[in-house]
Amino acid sequence: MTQYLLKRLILVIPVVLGVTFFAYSMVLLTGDPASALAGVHATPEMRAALREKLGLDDPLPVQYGRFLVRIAQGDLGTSIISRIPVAIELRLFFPATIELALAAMTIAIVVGVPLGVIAAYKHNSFADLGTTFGSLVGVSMPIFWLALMLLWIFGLKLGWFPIGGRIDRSVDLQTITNLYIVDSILTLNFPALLSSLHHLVLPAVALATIPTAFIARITRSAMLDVLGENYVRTARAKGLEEKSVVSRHALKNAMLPVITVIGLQIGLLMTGAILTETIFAWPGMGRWIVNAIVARNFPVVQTGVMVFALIYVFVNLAVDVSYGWFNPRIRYN
Amino acid sequence: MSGSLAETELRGLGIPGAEDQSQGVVRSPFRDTMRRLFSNKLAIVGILMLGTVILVAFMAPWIASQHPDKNGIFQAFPQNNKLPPSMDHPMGTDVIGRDMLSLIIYGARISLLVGVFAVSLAIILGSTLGAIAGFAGGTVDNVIMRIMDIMISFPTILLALVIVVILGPGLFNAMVAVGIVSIPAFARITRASVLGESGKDYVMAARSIGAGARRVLWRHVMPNTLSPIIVAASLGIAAAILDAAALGFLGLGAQPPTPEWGLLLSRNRGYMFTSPWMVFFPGISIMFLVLGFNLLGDGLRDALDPKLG
Repeated sequence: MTQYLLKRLILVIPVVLGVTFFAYSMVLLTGDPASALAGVHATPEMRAALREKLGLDDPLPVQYGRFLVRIAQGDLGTSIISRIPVAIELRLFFPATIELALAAMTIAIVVGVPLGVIAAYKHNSFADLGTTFGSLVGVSMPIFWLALMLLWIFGLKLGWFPIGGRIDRSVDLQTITNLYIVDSILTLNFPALLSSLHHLVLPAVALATIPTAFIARITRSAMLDVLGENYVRTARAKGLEEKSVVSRHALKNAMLPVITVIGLQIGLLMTGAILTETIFAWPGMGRWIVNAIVARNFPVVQTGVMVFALIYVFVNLAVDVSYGWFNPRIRYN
Repeated sequence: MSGSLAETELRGLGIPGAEDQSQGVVRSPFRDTMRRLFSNKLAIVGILMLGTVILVAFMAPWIASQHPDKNGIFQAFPQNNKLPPSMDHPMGTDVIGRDMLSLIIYGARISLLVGVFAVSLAIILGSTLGAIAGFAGGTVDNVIMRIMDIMISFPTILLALVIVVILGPGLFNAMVAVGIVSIPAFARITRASVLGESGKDYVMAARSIGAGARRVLWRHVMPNTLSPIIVAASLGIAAAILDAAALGFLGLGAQPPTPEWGLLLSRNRGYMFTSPWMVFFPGISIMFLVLGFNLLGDGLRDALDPKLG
């Protein structure tokens, strides 16, 4: 196991290097950071001096090497717009996205897996058809449209939920991790907990839609496969309760493809986060990066793109490694 | 038909099953697939939905009540602004009094074009790369697939956004960006099926009679990898339309006055609370078209691979 883990970690290194190189160099392709930094009124001489100072005239591999050394030292540069170190902004925005993504994933698993199980168990029933069609509708919806509709119905018409932000301005919260839910629990701040949960509902539901649909679909087809297996018949034949047959015997074996899909969903979740955050004025990474891309705020774009990609790489590594836990027949060699 | 002699002989021998085949229907893999596709209710719904959109897009000049001039601009009627849906304007009007239904009808052309163009680009580049990787193996395979791994690590919208910023905003560049983003998916699918096919006897046979690598790959292996690519194409068009609409929504895709659905939605966003139809209809149109492609893709998968059904 340890050996397998080490081997997988070594294999991740080239991908991580590739991701960081991509993040660094593709951003340079979008324009000249020096002119973005110097502003519109700068003379060509000023820009040239700035290029010189930033080392932008050096060969790309040299620049990339310097970039790697810098991030290894924890220096992610300074935002061109706010003049605040990117690392500090990241510490502010990253937890907001994580909170949103975890909430959405929780909803997706809690709703998607049972839906898939029921659909498979009642194969070809109305519930099955409904789940199949419903999940297709779910993956076909433009998430920004869904978010706007939720905002309109539940935020404006019914007034059940706030229409943007993470917490009421009137509520004081001492931040520790910047995950508001965690912080309010840590400081036993009940009003803050309620307010942040209240703000989290709509964006999390919007973001959860696509993963819920995917998880329900995969759970359904995996369960269909497993329910036809001999060991399920055996379990029934020896008189086990149906509940135990489905949950202990069938579901655990059907989880492998589901886990894979959950891992792959992380990428889609990040894509969704970018759009959802824009609509709900959620102060997270997605909105931060989109604004930075439009404003050519290079250090922020580089960091943001890199962080998103690295999350994807490591979540999928974790998924690969977790296979053995769900299916002990898999041997790591 | 060349088969008639054989059929007569088989019937003469009294082989069971031969009788069935001779009774009218000629069975071919294509016909079988179509039969399975058309016996799938959801797939038929998808085909009908797609047919509707394609027909509407094609018939736009005849069915829309308002038409763009030669510069693609729809005339504004400020006195008609923000009219709710009515008989005259079934989807209402927008801020400058343009008929929403007409905009959406012309928008259908754009979304169809975006989906088909982006996926064609992705198939041409992605499937070629995947086929080469799978067929060549070794270092070539490793290099190509690691680059694909890296590309797939970036959220699609983010990668498309960066590409659009490099190329400049606009509908064509957005189509290219969405196409590039879909390359790794097609590369992976093609590589997997090329690997699966390459070990089969008929490939060995082709090689043993002296066919060159290129001929074996393109003439023998590739035709057999088409099914997963067709399925992926249908589902890929759905994803491409969604991504392009998202780019339009973020202001980096199609530019005004193009009646692209994502752009319409984002331009009308500010009026959502007072005139919700301006946002509702473009969104539901995107969903309708995307759902059509998803239903068709699902149906095709079941029809092409009965084992999975």
